[in-house]
Amino acid sequence: MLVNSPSAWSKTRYWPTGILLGVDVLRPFQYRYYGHRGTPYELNTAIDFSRCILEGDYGWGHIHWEGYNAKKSMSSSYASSGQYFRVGLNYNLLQDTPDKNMAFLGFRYARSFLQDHLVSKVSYDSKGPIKTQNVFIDSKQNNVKARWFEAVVGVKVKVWGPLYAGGTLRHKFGLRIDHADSHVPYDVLGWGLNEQEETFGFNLYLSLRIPFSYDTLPSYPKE
Amino acid sequence: MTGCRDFKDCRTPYKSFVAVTFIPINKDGTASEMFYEISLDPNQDSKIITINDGTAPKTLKIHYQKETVLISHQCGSTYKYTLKKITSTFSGKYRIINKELSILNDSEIDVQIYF
Repeated sequence: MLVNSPSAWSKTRYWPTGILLGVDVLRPFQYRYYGHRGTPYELNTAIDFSRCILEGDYGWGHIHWEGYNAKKSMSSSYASSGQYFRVGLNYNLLQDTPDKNMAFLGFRYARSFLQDHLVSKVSYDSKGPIKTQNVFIDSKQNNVKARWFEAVVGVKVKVWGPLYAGGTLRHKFGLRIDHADSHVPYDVLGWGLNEQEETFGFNLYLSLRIPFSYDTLPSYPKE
Repeated sequence: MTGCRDFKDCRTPYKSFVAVTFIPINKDGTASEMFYEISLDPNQDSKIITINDGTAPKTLKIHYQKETVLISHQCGSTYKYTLKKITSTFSGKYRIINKELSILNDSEIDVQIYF
């Protein structure tokens, strides 16, 4: 009855069937190896509109790098903390599977807001070591903003009950950093090391799917 | 990831000097083009160049901005210079070719001055 009317069919086909709320299970461990430490976290949410999936990420945390130049007896450290978000659309290559699985291609717009602190010495230029002086640097920046874009590919599949697992591979590009007037940020939260114009990233999400009530209706009209 | 920045010789593409060519716009064609590498002072935000062409001395001021770049924790940091603008006391033409001073730029010349 209800589902046989054109408007209801359209409604059930294009309206969201549920929302996925997830957490990146790899992210907190990403910075726990030699030379740097920190505990970044990332949450993920996705809501489907037929083949389109609106997806957003929110991350926050603290990163601390340190190292030592034995030749020059010089230590350095870099600390960064802040938050970032990504928002964008996916195109789901799978549609109307019984478990609402997803295999998608998508696009993201991302922004990061951070404060960072660099302690180091200026020792080199394009001609090699600066022999005459090593200038000590202690530089703080409190209002650094960054933006970039991402092309993504990924999957999210049902594991058990409302539990879904999935990964997203990201090709990040178009990084622009603003309000970094004192030093160049070494590590941008959400982007990674600030050394190349393009980079890749991977997130492994564990998500909980909350179905909407009309999800029980069939997705297509009965003939 | 750390290894990506741990160059043995800690090379960096950033230059601490600006490559300037002086291109004479003389009528008789006897003067030749001159090339200089002018070192930038990290404690200043501009460099004044005096041009003496036989008449009253003329000055050219190159304004720049300095940022610190951490090459790696093993190497330490370097300065990255960005040219902002040029002002002068004469009416010659000048052109900034490379705003960011780096050996990776297509042109080795950073500033051209026509006087």
